[in-house]
Amino acid sequence: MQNTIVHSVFESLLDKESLNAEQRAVASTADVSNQACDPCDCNHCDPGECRCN
Amino acid sequence: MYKSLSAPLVVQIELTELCPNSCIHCYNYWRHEEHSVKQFAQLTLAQIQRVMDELERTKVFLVVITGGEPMMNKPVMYEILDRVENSDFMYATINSSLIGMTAKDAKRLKKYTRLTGVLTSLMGPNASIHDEIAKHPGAFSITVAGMQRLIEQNIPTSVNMVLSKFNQGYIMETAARAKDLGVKSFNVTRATCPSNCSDFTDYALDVPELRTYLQTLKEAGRRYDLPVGVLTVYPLCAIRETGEYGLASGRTCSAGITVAVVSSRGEVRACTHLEKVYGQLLHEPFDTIWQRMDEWRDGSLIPTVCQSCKALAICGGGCRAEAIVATHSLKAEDPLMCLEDVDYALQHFQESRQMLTPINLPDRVVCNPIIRWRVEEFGVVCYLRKTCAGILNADVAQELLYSNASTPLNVVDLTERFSTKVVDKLIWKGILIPYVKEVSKSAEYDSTFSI
Repeated sequence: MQNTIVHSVFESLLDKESLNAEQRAVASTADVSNQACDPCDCNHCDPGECRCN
Repeated sequence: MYKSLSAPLVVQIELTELCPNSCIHCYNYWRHEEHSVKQFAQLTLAQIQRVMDELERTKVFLVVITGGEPMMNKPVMYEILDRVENSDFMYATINSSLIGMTAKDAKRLKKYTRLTGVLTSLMGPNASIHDEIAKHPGAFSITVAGMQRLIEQNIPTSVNMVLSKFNQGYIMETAARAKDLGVKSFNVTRATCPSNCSDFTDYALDVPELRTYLQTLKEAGRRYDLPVGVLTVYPLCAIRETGEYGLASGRTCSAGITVAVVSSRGEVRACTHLEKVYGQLLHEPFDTIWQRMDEWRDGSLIPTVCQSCKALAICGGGCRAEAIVATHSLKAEDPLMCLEDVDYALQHFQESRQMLTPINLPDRVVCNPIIRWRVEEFGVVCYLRKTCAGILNADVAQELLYSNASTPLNVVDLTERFSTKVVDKLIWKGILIPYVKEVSKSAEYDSTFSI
């Protein structure tokens, strides 16, 4: 239930519909794991400063 | 594969094609052309007004001032910084060899509150290494002097060491030198084959060398208590020890997805390394040109072998610039790929990701007053200074971002609706901050606080 809510609060640039099932599972695991640093694609964070989804 | 933003989040502006260095690894594609100095293009003050108008209109968050050597076009550099300072939305960084950085410039730069830092290249710990790579006698001492002037003014200054076979043995010594100078962070990035070079094999790192350098870089960070990183993408399978080298893992190519480049002729490209032009910003709307760059987002440039790879979402398939110089195809494989290591790399990546340490949640929170945001079809992109804080669902964003700073949100209510984990994350990212009676709009909030 709460994992669904995580999805509903944070959106991703990644279009998960375009991925196959295995790739989607990997992407979804990353989404809901509450990672401290889960970089987006901006590549402009200094080391350790990433605040991305 | 990626959703299309209405415009890039970050734009690199090449102010000039001129540069006093002639680095052996320089990616500026125009260097393969024979030019007299007069033929090198520079943006004019009139042209940069048009460029900045478009960046403001499309709500670009961050401008990276680069070149060539941007200090060789100072009037335009300062014009950009003036525009950014007055925009109330954008921030800026500068990538420069610092050749031309006078004490007067450093003092002037200090006054720009929306300039978040300067990145410079240090190719080795001393002049004999650096100058040989830059093909410019005296370049090292000039760059170091420029760094000292910036650091004296407390301007955050970071180093990128572009790494090739030539200088790979000097990471530790260069880190020590950078530490002594007082840099904010030390980055080491592989040299990409320049487009004017038909054979880069004497310089390009191979896979064992890549892995050795990542190990050395991590050790340098530990030994010198220095934040370390890489400023490009490597295929996850090339890194292999993704748990060990988290500093390089999980970055995907941003070209045409969140980043665009504006050349010193006003042309829009996806990547500083690549020549392909998608439009002319001096005559066309930025968002129109950006929509033309769909091939970078729809997956059509992903190498065939990567399209079914289970790690694709967190790897992205490596660097397209590496692919094209190696094979003349943007869709080719990154030369460092090691497909036999995908499973190992992915497993260790997933196991090693640092989890948030739960914080003691405050009773009440408000939206961080320094958050800027841009509404997209699929959500709301949030930024803290030069750092993306994530993309929020539109309804949630409406509720959080438009909340009145003087009317705090009750954390118990939020956790019941979104879970403790999500509220934790919103606070860690700096989108929400603890409520205090007077929230200063000018204060920079450090979201890594502990209560």
